Amino acid sequence: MYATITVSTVGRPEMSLRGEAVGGEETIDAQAPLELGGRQRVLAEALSEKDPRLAWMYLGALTALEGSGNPDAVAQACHSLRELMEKIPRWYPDIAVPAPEQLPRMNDKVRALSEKWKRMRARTQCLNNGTWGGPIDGDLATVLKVADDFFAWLETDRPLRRLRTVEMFRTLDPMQLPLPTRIAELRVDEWSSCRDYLVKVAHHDITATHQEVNAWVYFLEGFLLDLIRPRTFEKHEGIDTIVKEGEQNADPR
Amino acid sequence: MPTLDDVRKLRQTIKNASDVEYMFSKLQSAKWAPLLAEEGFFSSPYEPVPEGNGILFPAWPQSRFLARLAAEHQSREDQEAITSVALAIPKTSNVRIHLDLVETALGLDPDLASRLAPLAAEWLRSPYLLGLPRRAGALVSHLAKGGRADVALLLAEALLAVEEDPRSKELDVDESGFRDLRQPTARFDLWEYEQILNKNIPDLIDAAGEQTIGLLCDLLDRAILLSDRHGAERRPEDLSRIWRPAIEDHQQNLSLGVKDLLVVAIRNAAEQLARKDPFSVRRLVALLEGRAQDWVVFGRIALHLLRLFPNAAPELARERLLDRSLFDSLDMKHEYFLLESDCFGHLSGEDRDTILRWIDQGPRDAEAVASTWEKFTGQTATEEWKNAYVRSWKRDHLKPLEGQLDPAWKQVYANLVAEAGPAQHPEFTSYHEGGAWGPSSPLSGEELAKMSARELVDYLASWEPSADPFHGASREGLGREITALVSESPDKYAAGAREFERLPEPTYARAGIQGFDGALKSGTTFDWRPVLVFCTWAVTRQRDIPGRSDEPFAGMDPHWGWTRTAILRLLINGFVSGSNPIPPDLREFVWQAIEPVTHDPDPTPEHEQKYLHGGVQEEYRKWGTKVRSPDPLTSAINSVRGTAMEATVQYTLWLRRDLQKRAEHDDILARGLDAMPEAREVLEHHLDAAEDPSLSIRSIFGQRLPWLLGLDRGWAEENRPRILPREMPEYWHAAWDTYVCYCKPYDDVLDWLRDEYAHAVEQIGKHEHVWFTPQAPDHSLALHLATFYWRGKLPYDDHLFQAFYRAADPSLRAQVLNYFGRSLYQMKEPIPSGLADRLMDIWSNRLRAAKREPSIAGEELKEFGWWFGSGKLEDQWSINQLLEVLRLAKRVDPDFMVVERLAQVSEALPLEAIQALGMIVEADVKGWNILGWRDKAKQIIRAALKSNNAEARQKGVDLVNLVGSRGHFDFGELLKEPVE
Repeated sequence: MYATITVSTVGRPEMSLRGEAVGGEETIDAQAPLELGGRQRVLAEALSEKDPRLAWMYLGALTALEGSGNPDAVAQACHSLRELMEKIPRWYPDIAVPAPEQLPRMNDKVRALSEKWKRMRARTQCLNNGTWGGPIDGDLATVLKVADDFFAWLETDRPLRRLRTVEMFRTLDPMQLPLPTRIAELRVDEWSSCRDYLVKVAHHDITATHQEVNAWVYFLEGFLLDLIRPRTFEKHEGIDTIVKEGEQNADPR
Repeated sequence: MPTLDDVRKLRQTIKNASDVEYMFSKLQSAKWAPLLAEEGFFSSPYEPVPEGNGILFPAWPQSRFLARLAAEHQSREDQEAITSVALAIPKTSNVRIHLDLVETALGLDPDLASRLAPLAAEWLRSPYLLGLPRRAGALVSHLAKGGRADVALLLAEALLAVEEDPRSKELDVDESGFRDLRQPTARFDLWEYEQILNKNIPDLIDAAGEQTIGLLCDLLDRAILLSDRHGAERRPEDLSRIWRPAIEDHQQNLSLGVKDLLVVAIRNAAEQLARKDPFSVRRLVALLEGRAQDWVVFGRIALHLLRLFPNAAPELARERLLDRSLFDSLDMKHEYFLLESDCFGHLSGEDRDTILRWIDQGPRDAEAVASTWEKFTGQTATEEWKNAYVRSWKRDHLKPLEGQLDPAWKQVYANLVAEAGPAQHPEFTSYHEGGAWGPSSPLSGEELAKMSARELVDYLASWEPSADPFHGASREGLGREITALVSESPDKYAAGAREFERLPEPTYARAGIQGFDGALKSGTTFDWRPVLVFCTWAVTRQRDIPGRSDEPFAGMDPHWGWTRTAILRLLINGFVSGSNPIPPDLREFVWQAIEPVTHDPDPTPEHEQKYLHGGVQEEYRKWGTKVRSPDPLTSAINSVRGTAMEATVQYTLWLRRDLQKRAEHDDILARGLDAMPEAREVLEHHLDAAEDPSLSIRSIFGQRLPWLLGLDRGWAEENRPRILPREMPEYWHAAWDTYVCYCKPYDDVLDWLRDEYAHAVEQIGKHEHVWFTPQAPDHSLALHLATFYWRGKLPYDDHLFQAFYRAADPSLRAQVLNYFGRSLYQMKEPIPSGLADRLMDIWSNRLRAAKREPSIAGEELKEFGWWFGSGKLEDQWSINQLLEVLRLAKRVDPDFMVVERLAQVSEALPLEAIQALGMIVEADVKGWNILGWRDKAKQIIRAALKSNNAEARQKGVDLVNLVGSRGHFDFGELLKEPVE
C-alpha cells in the first residue's frame, strides 16, 4: 500500500493515519512512496501523538532506507534515528536529569580547551624552542586547571547519560515506575549499543549495509513499542510459560 | 525447581514495571525468592514519589510477594530463605514496603520474625506511617506469644514512644509561665495508640509482666516530663489530680492525651498481673511506689491496686491508711479516700482510733488555707470562716467512714452535716459539673393561657425576674411563652393588643409580635388593625432604655430595636401572606409602622467601619490572620434600618399589587412611585450618601434593582446613577455585587443596565473588598451573560460578550461552558433547534479561540464533558468535538460522565468511542480514575473489539494492552472473549 505523506504545521503527520486536515496545512508528495508494516504504523501513530516531529524523524529514516538512488541513505537514516533517540526525552518534561542539549557537547569542550592551549603556548615561559621546562608559570597553571576540569567532566558525563536514560525509561514506563536495577541496566546497555551503532554509521565511522541497519531499526521499534505501546498480554503469555516451567519442579507447599 | 536460568529468561522478557508486577503475582514457589534476589530483583525498592503537596508510596510487587510467601510457606527452609531476602532489601523510606515486610514477619516463625523486628522499630521513626503502627502492634503480640518477649519489648518501646509537643519550639519563644504546659504525643494517632495498648500490650504482659510494666512506667515518666517546660524541676508534682482525677474509670477523667492512656495501661497491666498472681501485688506496689518518688501518679496507682486486692497485701493497706502524710495529701486524696472507704472496717480498733483522732484534731493546714483565701479574695478570714472550714474538713474526712462509725461518731457526723450541709464530692479535690441552660419562665404556658390579655399584662407588669438570668426565670423566658400563646390564639391577643401599651418592656412586645408572625406562617388568621395600631405605638418608643445593659444574654431585650425588626418582618410576611394578607385600607397604619424605623441608627457608622471598611481585618492582622466580613446585604438584613428599607420596597410592591386589581389600574400603574410618594421620599433620602452613608443600605437597592425597574421605569432610569454611583466605587460594588450575586438575570434589566454590565466586565478580577460574597461577583456575572446567551438575548459577537472573554481568565471562561453543559444535562425535554445551533456556534467559537491559546485552552475546554455527557446534541458532532478537546486539553470533566456516555454510543460509533477512551486513559497516568468507571470502559472496548471496523478493533486491542500495562490485568480477559 502506498501512501501520501501530509505534513501539517499544526496537527499530526497524516500517513495512512486518520485525522482532520487543519488550517495552514501544506501537502507534500513524498518522493518515494512508503509502505509501512503494522508495528511501524503503531509506532508512527504513537510518536505522532506525542509530537509530530518525532514521527517525522522516524518516518524520515524509513523513507531514506526505502529510497533508491541515494548513496548516503543508510547514514542519513541512522542520523534521523539517532536524533529520534536523543529527542524523545524532550517531550517528557518529567524527566529530571538534563537532556543532552542542555549538557555541554564534547566538541565544544575540546575546542575551548584547544583555544586555551594555543594561547598558553604563545605566552608561557615554560616552552622554549619546542622544549618544556622550568617552574610552572601562571599561563600554564591556568590551562592545567582547565584540563583538570575537562577530565573530571569526562568522568561524570557518561554516568549522567546512563542516569538520564534510566530516568527516561521510568518516565516512558506506563506505570512510571523504575525497573529492577539489573533489568534497567540491561535495557540501558541495549539502548546505548543501538545509539552508538547509529552514531558511528551516521558519522561514516563504519560502513553498514541496509540489512544491518534494518535489524537495528527493528530492534529500536520493538524497544520503543515496549514502552509506549506495550503488548502487555502477549508478554504475559511469555512470562506464564517461563514461570510454569520453573514451578514444575518446585516443592509442593 | 526454578533455576537461575529461568530467572534470567524472565529478566530478558520483562520490559516494563507492569511485567514485574505480573510476574510476581504469578510466582508460587518460595524457591524463586533467593534466585530472584541473586539476579537483583530485590535490590531497588520503589522510593516515595512527591505528588503536588503530598507524597505517594508506590506498592512494590517484590515486598507483597514476600508477605504472601511467608503466609503460605511454613517449612523452615522456605521461611529462612524468605527472611534472608527480606533482610537484604536495601533501606527505603517507602512505608508500603515497610508494611509488607511487617506483614512478612507476621507470617514467619517468631524466631525468624524477631530478626525483622529491629527494622520495624526503625521504620516506626518515619514521618509517614499509614497503617504501620497497627501491624507493628500485631507483631508485638506475635513475638510475645511466640516466646520472643525480649524482642517484642524492644519493638513495643519504639512503637509506644512518647514524643515532645510539636509546638514546643513555638511555645518556648514565650518565656512567661502561661506557656509552660505541653501536650506530649505519640508518633501516630492516639486512637490507634489506645487500640495497641488494649489489644497487644496484654499479650506482652502475659509474656513479660513486670518488665512490661517497667516499660510503660518509663513511657509515662517521659510523657509527664515532657508535659511541662520545666518538667524535671517539678518532680514529683505531676498535677495528675487535675488531668487524671481518678485512677479508676470515672466521668471526672477528661481522658485526654498520651499520659492518660498510659495511666490506664499501667493500671490495667497491674490488675492483669494481680489477678493472675495475687502474690505479685506486693512486688507491684513496691515497683510503683519506687516510681512514686519520680511522679505522684505511680503512688496513686499503687493505692488503687491495694484497694482492689485488699486480701493480697492487707498489712500494706493498713500501713498506707495509717500514713499521716497520705492522710493529709491532696495529690493522693482520691485513692486514699476510696481505700479508706473500703478498708477502714478491716482495721483494728486502735488503728481506727488513730484515724478518728486525726479527724478530731482537725486540719493541720487551716492557717495556710485561710491565708491563701485572704490572698485571693482580698477579704479577712474571720474566726467564723475558719470554724466553717474546720467543720467542712471534718465532715469530708468522716464521709468515707460513714457506714463504719460507732454511734457517737455517727452523731458527730450528723451534726457536722447539719451545720455545714452535706458533703459535695469530698473524694475529689475539685469536681466539674456542667449542663445545658436556657431562659425559663416563672409560669407555665398553660397557666399563662388561662389569663385574659389584661390579666396577663397585669401579671407581667408586677413580675420581677430573678437576679440570675442563667439559672432563674427571666423576661426572655416569659417572652418565649408569650410568643407561643399568641401564635396559638392570635385573635385573643390581637383584640387585647393595646393592653400591652401599658408595658414599657420591649422583651414582651417583641415576643407578642413574633407570636403574630408565627400565626401568620402557620395560616392562623387574626384582625390586623389592632395589631398594626400596637405596632405604630411600639415603633415610636424611645429606642434606648436608660440604665439597661447592652448584654445580649441578660434575660431581656437591651433596647426596642429588636421589637422594631420583629414588626418589620411581620409586615413583610403580611404583605405576601396567602391566608391573612394585610388589607390595603390599612396602608396608613402600615406606613406609620415602617417610616419611623427607616431612621433607626442600626447599622451604625461604627458597625460599618468595623465590618465593611476593614476594622475587623485590622484587628486580626495583628494576629497574622486574614478574615473577611459578611457582605453588605447580610449586614443589611440583620440590621434594623436595613430591614426597614427592605420593608419599604416590599410596601411599594404590596401597593402595586393592590393597584393592579383596581379597574383604573393602568393609569395608576403608569404613575409608578408617584402613586406612593411617601415611599419614594424615603427611597430617595437613603440614596443620598450624605444622608445615609451606609453600604448595607445601598445593597438593599442592589438586591431590588429588577423590582424597582418594574415598579417605576422612569424613576429607576433617573436614579440609576445614584443607586450605582461610578464615582463612589464602594457604593457601586455594594449595589452591583449584591444585584449580580442575588438576582436572577432578567432580559429587561439587561437592556436597562447594559452600561453597568459593561462596567462590571471592566471590573473583572478587581473586586478587592473586606467582605465576602457567598457567590463571587465575577462568577455570577459570567452566569448572567451565559443565561442571556442561552436565551438568544446576547449574541456571541456582542461587544459585551467579547469584552467578557477578553477580560476573563480561563477559569472564569470555563464557568460559561460549564453553565451550558450543566443546563443541557439537566434538560428533561429535547433541545430546541435554535438553542442547539446557538450552543454549537459558541462552542466552535471557543474552540477556535482555544486553538490560538493552546497552553491555557484546557481549563476552558475540559468543561465539554458536561455537554457530551448530556447526550442532548447530535452524537457524531458531539464525539468529534470531544476528540478535539482531548487532543487539545488532554482532559475532560467530569470524566465518569463522559465515559458513561461513550459506553452508550460505543456500538454506533465504536472507532470514535475507543479513540476518546484511549485518550482519557492515556491522560490518567496514575491509573486511578479508571477505577471509577472500569465497567463502562470495558463496555466501550468490548464494542470496539466486536465491531466491523478494523481500526476500532486494533485500537481496542491497543487500549487493553495499555490498561494492562498499568496493572489492570483483568482487562486482558476482554481479548479472550469470543467475537460474534
